[in-house]
Amino acid sequence: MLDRRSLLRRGLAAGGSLFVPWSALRSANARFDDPPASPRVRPFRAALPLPPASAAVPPFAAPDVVFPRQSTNAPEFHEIVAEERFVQMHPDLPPTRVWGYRDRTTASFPFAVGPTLLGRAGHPLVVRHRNALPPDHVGFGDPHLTVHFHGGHVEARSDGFPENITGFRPVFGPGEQYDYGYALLDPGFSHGAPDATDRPATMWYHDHAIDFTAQNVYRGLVGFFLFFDELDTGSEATGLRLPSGEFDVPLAMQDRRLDQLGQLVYDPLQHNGFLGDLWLVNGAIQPFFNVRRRKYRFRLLNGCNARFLGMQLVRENGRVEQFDLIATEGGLLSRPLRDRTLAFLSPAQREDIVIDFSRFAQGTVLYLENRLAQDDGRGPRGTFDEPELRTPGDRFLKIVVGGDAPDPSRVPDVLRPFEAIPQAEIRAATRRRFEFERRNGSWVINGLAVDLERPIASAPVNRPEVWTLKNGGGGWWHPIHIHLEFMHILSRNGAQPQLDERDGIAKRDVITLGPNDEVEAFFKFRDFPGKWVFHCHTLEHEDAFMMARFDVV
Amino acid sequence: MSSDRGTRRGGLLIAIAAALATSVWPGCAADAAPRPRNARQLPNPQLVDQHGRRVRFYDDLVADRTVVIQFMYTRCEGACPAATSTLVAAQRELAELMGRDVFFVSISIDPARDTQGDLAAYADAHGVGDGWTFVTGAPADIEALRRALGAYDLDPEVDKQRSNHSAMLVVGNDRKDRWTMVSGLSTATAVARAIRRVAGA
Repeated sequence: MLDRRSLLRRGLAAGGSLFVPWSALRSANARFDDPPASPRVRPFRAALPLPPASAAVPPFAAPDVVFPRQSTNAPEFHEIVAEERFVQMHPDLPPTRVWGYRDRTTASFPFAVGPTLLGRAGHPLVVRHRNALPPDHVGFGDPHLTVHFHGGHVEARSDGFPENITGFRPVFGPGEQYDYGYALLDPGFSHGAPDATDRPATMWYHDHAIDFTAQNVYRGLVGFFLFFDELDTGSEATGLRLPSGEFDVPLAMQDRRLDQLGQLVYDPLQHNGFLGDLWLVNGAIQPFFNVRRRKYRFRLLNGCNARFLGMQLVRENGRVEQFDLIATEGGLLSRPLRDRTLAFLSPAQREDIVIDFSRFAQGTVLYLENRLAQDDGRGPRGTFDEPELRTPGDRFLKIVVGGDAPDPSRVPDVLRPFEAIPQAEIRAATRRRFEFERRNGSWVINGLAVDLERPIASAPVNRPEVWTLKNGGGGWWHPIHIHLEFMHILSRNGAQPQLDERDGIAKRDVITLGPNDEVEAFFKFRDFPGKWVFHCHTLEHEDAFMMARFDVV
Repeated sequence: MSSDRGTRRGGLLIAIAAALATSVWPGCAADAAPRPRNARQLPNPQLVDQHGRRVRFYDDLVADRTVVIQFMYTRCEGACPAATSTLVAAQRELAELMGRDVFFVSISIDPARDTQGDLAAYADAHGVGDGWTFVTGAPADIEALRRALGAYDLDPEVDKQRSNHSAMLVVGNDRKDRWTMVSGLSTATAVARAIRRVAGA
């Protein structure tokens, strides 16, 4: 199917001819859901912050963490503190009070995004999270925390279940701590069928407290979690030799609103989806980044509460440049999707792209620009297959091309190949259908508001499942995140999915449901019986009860 | 898509008109200096409760309290009966807090028809106990409250139909300026848990 979106994604439609002008009516500013505008600041004055990796600490006793017997390597221990701190989001503004994760090994952590956790296949991590948030906090946000390992395949008690329920207490308050165990074993390990093709690449961790996830994440409780193995090694001398080290750059893109004093503004009484009007990368407003003339891997994360992003690499004059897509939330693709021009990222989605800056002369200026048009929490204009793009867009990051640098990195034609799910297995699958709707100003799944005491479905462990996810309409978009396993997308609206979500090429852990979309996804819930959730990752919809518990039994 | 677009643009104009008419912005301002979500941010109209008392919305029903705010009307055959019975059950689960730390406020969105007597009869019929106030008032004031508390739909066609009205319950702790919403279509246990969490109880 050659629609406009696939053309855009393949880069065949590069150039301005398809871009629809930004509607003058929409830019009239005053929308009911809009709080007052943020202060204007000069763009591209702040250097791109690069939060450091978390460092290991000496082993400590963590009796709650029990790794599966298949986990044979000695665990590495980390300690992360959730705290209130002030960070400089822009040189023109006073420091902003945020909540953030800090590595225990650093006394001062001047970043709005937390330390990056680095995982390696088969090497377990014990991560102690300490809650040092103010117990008497006044303002939006709730200092009772639960940390979701987004993209991880771990036991239920370490997944960040949203609420204390009967017999299960994953939430920890100020002054308390919680030890998480991440075995990082290949899915299927407990059935003697570890699947090394089912490994992640770019993950993140963030707060998941019921009713307050949007507020707590907006305050800053997020960090990256990167995964390496013998293919994706973190070295340009080994494995696939992807751009690595200082040339492998996680970019958390977030929108925020600030008041005239530079403090975060949020409206907890609005559950349509909160939109900011400032563009942050790794916690700085519209930063700049100096690159050398060689290949870089950018790990793009949409860390916005409710804003969808359509990122393009553009020159000063708006001309669109190409990049290679190498990974999604579900890890490395089977093969790179080359010469693309659009990274479409729903909230919580990740795409790893490789840009070869040796194509550009020294001194060239480029931007990572969001060209989706979105006016409120309902979602962007256009459809999933045909998003409406506008030019100019919103420039998140300025990239300045510098001098030459050696480049032993590669983007090989084969990355991490895996087979599409065979028809026989799809035919044998248990089918379930979930419809996501708005009802009486509230959000429901199959007519139900979230009740974490009861599962909406119980799936037998390691059995094939096909779930049909249906957007009940009303013009709303819902990015659906299902915990525990990556999804193989079988169809979208009855048709074969596009390449960046097609089974056999890509996996996803967030499925975008545009208005009225219907998507079929396959998975097996391997290894970990327990209580899990799936939900809309527009965080205000999630908090307004568009979530359900499912059990693996 | 084009008809959808048209609706949304219409929504913009209506929303601007509504914003101008009510001059209410519900958002929370800077919280650099801890301060409650006070009368400058929430409307404070004069209302009448089920006992015929005149009350100010913010000063008398919200200030210094943990509140649960419901939008309802006595003739509702849609979401209200479910949400009200959820609240009645939650009231039982929260018995030790009701009327002391936690208060419920049910605001009629049919103020032209709902009289004080209607509200009293409705409260009686549902077995409403201490700390639960039903109020009605001037339609413009009620509309301002509905907007300020987020109980509206972005789609003006949906918003116009009273039977579609919001079943979301606003849960707030004025002293901590901590606010969230829970669904009135959920269970009493979930609602009571959320209230305890916001109350810090």
